[in-house]
Amino acid sequence: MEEARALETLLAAVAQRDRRAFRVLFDTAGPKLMGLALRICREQALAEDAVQEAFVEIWRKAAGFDPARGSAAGWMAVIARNRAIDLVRRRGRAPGWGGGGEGEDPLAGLIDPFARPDGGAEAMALSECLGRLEPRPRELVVLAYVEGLSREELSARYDAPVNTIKTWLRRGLAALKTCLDG
Amino acid sequence: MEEREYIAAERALGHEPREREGAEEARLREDWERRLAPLLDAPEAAPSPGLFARIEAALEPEASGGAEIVPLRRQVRLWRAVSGLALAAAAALALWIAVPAERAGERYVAVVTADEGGEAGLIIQFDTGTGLATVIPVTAPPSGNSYEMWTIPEGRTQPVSLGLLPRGAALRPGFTAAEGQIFAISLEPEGGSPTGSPTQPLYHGTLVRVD
Repeated sequence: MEEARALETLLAAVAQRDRRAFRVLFDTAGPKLMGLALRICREQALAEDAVQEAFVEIWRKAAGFDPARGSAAGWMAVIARNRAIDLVRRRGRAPGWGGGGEGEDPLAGLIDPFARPDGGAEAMALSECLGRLEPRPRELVVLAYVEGLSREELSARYDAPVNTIKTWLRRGLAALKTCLDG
Repeated sequence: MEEREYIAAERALGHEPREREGAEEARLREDWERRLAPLLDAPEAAPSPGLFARIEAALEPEASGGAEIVPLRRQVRLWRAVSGLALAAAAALALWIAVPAERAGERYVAVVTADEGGEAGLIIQFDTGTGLATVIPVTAPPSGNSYEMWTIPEGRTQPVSLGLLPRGAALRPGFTAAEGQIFAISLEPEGGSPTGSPTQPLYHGTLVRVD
């Protein structure tokens, strides 16, 4: 918990325009966000642009972070994910590696709750609940969120109509929420 | 699940536009982002050395230098609010013990808190790649006193001084830190402990590895 508190304290200092704290925050969280951006952008230069945009947004929005509604690490990760996906789309490309053939579980290797002392319980619950979904909805939720694939891209990848993708996704999301809230 | 919950989840996935999203809708969407955030855990990758300079250049220009004491005072109040306990001293100062260089290593953070309560006394960030530590104290010592920094290395029982804060202290390259290592700050007569042991221990904390 001390680690989570350190990030929260740093963010609180950043909200007060403390550039030293901002530097420490970058040194602390930067490599994680860089890894995340690289997974979406698949290219070092683009991923760095995404991390740059993410940290500028973190600087700007730090005062809006509410520790009562989730971890600082998660809050920053969501910002980096959205910036990376936006950036890839602005370049007219599809995000993600585009690989991973039919039948390959995109969840495998993505989430290791035991490797995370911070947010470990949340990660474990999500992993557990994703594991209970039917394979197809699970793959779609993970690909859509982690790689940022659109319904159209998922439709092409799974050779299924867009509306079917939407229905599968909704089924997965509803089951996920029931499991997580239960 | 209600339709607005579906829409919120689809906004989190990026499948529905966020423009014209109301406050309540944004809250529901953020709840979904929080639920799914553990999926974003990725293996670390090193940013290029110049990236932070680029980020800083992209920030809006703000007053610094002489104006610094004001935001730092606000920061003390903020830390007080964060910790929920009053801090004894009102003045604040920030200090670089050493400027971190651009080398990847394991990173550790310790939030050093008061022995008598939970308030944050200072934050120590340590990078094993550079062997350098960054220390941000929240309060200044009373006049006529100095803060002294200590650690208890593995296999030892007595604290070892790491020097005075803010003057003359240094965690030099080659200094090793280990997870769980204890750091402490004591209040000393000006010039440091006369005995070689902490006179009045104030704060302590342990290093945790930051992934």
